[in-house]
Amino acid sequence: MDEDLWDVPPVTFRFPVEWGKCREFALALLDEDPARPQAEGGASPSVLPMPPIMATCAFRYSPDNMPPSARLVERGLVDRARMLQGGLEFEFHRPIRSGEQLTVTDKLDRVHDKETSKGTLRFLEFETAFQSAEGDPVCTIRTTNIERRS
Amino acid sequence: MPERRVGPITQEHLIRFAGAGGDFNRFHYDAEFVHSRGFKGIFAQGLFTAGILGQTLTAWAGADMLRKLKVRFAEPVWLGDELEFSAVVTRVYKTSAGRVWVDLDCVVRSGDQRQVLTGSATIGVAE
Repeated sequence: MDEDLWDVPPVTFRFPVEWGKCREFALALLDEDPARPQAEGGASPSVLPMPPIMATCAFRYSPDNMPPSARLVERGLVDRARMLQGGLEFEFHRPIRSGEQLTVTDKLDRVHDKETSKGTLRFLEFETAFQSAEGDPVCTIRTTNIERRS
Repeated sequence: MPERRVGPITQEHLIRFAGAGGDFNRFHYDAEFVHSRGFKGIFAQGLFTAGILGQTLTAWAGADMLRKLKVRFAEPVWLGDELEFSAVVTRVYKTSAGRVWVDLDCVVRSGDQRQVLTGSATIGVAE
């Protein structure tokens, strides 16, 4: 079973950090409009900071439009009905701005089982790594999904 | 970080966030579907709550200052919930590169005092 999980290859794709998407996320997260002019008669900022959580949606730019966990579900390796999101961890190596073109690599990073009073739980840890055009690390996301095995 | 209160959470909030992120999971807008799965009602995307926490931290510390954010989704946020975002400093230290970083414990509580999200963050301090 584990060998099958590891047969799913990492997926690499480009992630354009769009100005309009940064604004849309900020507004959806109840911020004031980040595109408002800073002074009367002024223009909207030409560059916006990327809301941190927006990084989790980068998979929308991947060829299959899927987060890494969904790739395992699609292949029948994980039962979606038995899977919960366990946690999410971001590390920002530097700020991200609109206008950047990042390269993203999604992969399964670690799998381990834990025996509990309610049965076996499988912890699936995924890593999503963002790199700049120069290949420097920009951001790393670790997502843990928990699958009830019994 | 000053406490921030948000809410009550409405269906419009969840649909706006679904539109931004492209995740139209029916748990966040389809009451009939949600009840058929045994839940008492529609609940918010975990990332919605985590996202507001991220924005609250960056509004306080500065957009360039967030270094780490770790969240655990403890309980559902239901439509109508009011949320209280808070964070307390747990550690101030210098990194090996000589930069000053601050660790925080973060909590989001609902109006009925359920902890719906717990987590931690690290921010850099402008020198």
